[in-house]
Amino acid sequence: MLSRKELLRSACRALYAGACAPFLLTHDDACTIMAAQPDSPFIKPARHWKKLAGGSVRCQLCPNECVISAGSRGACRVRMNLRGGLYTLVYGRLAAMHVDPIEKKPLYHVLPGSLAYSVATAGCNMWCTFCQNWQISQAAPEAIDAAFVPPGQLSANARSKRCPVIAYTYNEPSVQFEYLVDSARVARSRGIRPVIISNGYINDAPGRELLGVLDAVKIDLKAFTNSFYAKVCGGDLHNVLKTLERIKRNGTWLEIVVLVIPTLNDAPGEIREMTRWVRANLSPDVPMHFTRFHAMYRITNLPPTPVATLERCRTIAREEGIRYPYVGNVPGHRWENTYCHSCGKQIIRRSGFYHVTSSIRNGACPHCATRIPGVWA
Amino acid sequence: MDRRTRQLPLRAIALVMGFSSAVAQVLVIRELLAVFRGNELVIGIIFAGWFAGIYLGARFAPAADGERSARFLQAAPCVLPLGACIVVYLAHALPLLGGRAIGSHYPLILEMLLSLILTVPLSLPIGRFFPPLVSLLARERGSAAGGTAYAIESLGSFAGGLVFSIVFVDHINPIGITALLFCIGMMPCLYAHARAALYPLALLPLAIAAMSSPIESSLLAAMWNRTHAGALVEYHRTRHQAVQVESQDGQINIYGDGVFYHSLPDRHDARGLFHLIQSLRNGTGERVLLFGTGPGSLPYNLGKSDVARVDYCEPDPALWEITDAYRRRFYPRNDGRLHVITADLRRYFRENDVRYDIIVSRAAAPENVMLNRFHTKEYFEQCRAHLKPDGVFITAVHGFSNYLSDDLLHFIASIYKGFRETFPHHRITSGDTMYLIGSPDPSRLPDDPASLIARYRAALEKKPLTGLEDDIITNFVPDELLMSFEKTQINYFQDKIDRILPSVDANSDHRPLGYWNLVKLSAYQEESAVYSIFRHAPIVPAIGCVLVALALIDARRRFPGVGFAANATMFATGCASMAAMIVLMILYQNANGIIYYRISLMNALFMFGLTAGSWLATAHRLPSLPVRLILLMASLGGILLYASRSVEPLFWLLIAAISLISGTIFPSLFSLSDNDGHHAFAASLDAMEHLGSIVGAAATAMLLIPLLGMSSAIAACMCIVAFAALVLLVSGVRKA
Repeated sequence: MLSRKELLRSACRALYAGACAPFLLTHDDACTIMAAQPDSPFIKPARHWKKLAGGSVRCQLCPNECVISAGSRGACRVRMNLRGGLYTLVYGRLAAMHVDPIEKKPLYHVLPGSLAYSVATAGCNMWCTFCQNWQISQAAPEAIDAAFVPPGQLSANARSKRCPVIAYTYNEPSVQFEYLVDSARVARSRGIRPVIISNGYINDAPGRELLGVLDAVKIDLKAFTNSFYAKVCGGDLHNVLKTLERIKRNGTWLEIVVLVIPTLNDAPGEIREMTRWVRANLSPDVPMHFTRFHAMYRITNLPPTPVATLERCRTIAREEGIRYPYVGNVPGHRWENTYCHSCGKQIIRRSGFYHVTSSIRNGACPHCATRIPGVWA
Repeated sequence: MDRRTRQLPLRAIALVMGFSSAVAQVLVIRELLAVFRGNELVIGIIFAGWFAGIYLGARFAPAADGERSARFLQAAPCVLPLGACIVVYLAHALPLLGGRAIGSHYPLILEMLLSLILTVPLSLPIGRFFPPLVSLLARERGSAAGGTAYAIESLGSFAGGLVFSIVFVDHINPIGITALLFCIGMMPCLYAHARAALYPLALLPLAIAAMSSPIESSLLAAMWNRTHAGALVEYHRTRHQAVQVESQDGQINIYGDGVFYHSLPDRHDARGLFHLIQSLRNGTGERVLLFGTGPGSLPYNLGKSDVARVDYCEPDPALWEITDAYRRRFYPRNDGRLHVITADLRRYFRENDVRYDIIVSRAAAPENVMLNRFHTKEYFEQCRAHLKPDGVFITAVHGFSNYLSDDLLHFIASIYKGFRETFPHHRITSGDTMYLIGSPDPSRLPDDPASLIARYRAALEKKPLTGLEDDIITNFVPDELLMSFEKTQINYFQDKIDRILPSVDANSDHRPLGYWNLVKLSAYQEESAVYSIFRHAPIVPAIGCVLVALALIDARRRFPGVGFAANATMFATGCASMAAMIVLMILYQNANGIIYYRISLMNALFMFGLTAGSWLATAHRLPSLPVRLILLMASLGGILLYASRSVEPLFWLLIAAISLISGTIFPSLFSLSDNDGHHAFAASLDAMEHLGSIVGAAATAMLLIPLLGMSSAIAACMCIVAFAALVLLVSGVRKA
């Protein structure tokens, strides 16, 4: 017969075993091994890394600079130390391929009204709690469906869908660095414009290499405080600002999106400081999109950003000298249109993403002939 | 004190304790739901926590000791309300302590843990209360003491449930309620000490109750404003839910039980759906029904267009009243074309034959079984039945951003399957919110979005939209609708869904797969440990079985032979009656809508049944226990009949029957105890009944219904009762 003590002891043991079992079982060794098959077309030697003692490597692609021991992966989940070398697991491993209007990116000053062949892999070097594409950005590559698309095929696909632009988007494109550079180079040689929609969290050397193959960049400037980047995204503001300056120096077309999330990054002082920085360090010609937040991923119980808040951000940006501030994710709002910074007349009209009428002629305002910054042809 | 005066307070104390525990239980559940998201997982855990506390209190109650027991019995009715008050406001203050970022929910695992932590200590004294009560009563009543105590406490619970659902529910806040309970709890205690001069002291809490409203308002506002985006303007407890209104940068946000519902104004959010509806219209003078679309821009602008009538459905009349006051600031009165239906939509459909040209259902995602009923095949069939032959039905489901994970795909597929079976001719849109558009008339839905847009363009050229809000029509061209019909996204969805649809079951009222899949998706989304449990589903029942087996072994160790049979029977009765109540409540909810304010009424009726049953068993000669268990099985079978008929009197009759039969079991089993073991045997039976309730609540809500459906859950309960009857027969207990 069991004593009370024995009974309690066995109950505790049973509970402990039960509680531990799921965690032991979820360790997906099988997937990891499959992902690391040497003959897999998705696995290619990575660039921008350094060998360390004891078989570890330091990835130097982004400011996380992960030290990765043999058999492990970086924070992005897609770069792996295999037998002492760093490999990408997402070379041409495309999980999403859609045809989107370029306004959806949003890139308002790049070929308005054109279509962008939009592609993504798994992985990201941040973990923003409001990510719209968390299903791919926060997943390991082997956990999601994907197809192998060689670099040349990507351009062919874009052409067959009548897309003059390839957009590396949805997840953070820099984590597929090797594929991005290879496929963008092929695309450019075939007259297709590669653009990225990025969080700007990339180191200097790979950042410069990337800019060499791109026609435009949209950066999500998630906030203008380090605490936001640290607590909500897992990154840091300083490195993103360095990327923005690098893009500007390189002369690649740049647009900035600020997703305005109530309470978290909507303080007028913060927006003023941000827009002032953009004007002083980049250019007043860099379009800034203040877009509306809707509940997403981990932030599922927050109301949408009041339109008044977005309008205030736009007003602050104008006051600080930004020439092309927009309000985004607010269909029908008058500040989704483009107005000439010189004469103030409407030069591009937008009704959602799909109906775009542009009166820009040879990159200039049809009313006052002022040059409008952007990529128009 | 003479024998008579000592016994009288015991009964009064038992009555008060029953009353307070019933009120405290409903109160704590309601307030916890306003802090945690109210899905059945959390409700199940709250119930399980409550019963676990009672189980532990009863199981580990100290041995009988006259003096100490009497002191505890007098103190318990005062301690319980104090504890309830602390738990309620501690739950509201939890977000201040961290663990939850603004705009997010607690992770599921944390919600479940916190629910347990908050409920177990509160219900512990309730379980600890019963054995000494029986023990002291046994000095007078002998082996009938168990039945007497059981009957009196159940009677108190019946009264508590009744008073809560009629008086307390939307009139008194938790401070007031617990102050009143404290006041009532002190009375027998003061009487026992025969100090009549102190009676007025017991009225002191009433003063607190009277002043509680401003105190509570400032407390809630302080806590809300530090953990939400806006400033709290109003906090109301309606019969259906706790409604919160906050103001944020000129925008009014409405919440129900802490979950965001709508904002006002919402013209930019309504614009897309407004034009989608307009493009699907078939002329003028239509009758349109809106549900879950928000009370702002969409009903207002549709009312301003040339439809004949817009019916807007809001199930909670008090919520509509609160919202309407703000709505009128942004949207002046319509010209009489907007009509508000303050009733549950499915009940409204059942009781009305009206047919609509367009029905738009934008119910919130099925985060609980209550919401799931607006995404089931049965609901879609009801909507179809209320469409005119050429009518159009639009419903919204959680969509996807560029990629469909397996969990998301299965969730959407379970709902889509029910929709597709009801509306073989349909179209879908793309986006984070997908609209499923169906019609009984195939010609109403063009194959190609381009023809829909062309048709709308032609209609607008013929008759432009006028008199609407500016932001609805400014800059609008019909091509904007292409945003809802992104070709590659729709093709991607169709390709993926067609592959898995044959292997997926449709979400239904009796098997709420949509709810279950969404809980799984949420767990995946938050990378919660709960997701690991979902992925390895057999682990949870395995742990449950081990725990139950250990408890039964423990009971067998302490009460071998007939005693064990009695314990096993008590376990089976607790399990089956609780499972039956949960199934009945869900079935009733499916037919009638939000049942929140009726739960305490159902609880009251259940308690009344227990009271009557235990009185019958104590005072009269009844059929043998196995026969009563067979009657219990028959009553459980009656639930299957109710599931197919939804006749309301049958529902109440079944609760009465199940509780009445269950109520007769305890006194009969208790009478098997020997004269020296009243205290221990009462404790053991009480503990086993509540352990059975835990298993019944948890297994039914979290496992049997989602995985197997309601009928299988009832069948499982019938098997458990049959097993108990068999155990009784084998052990020789035929009559008690």
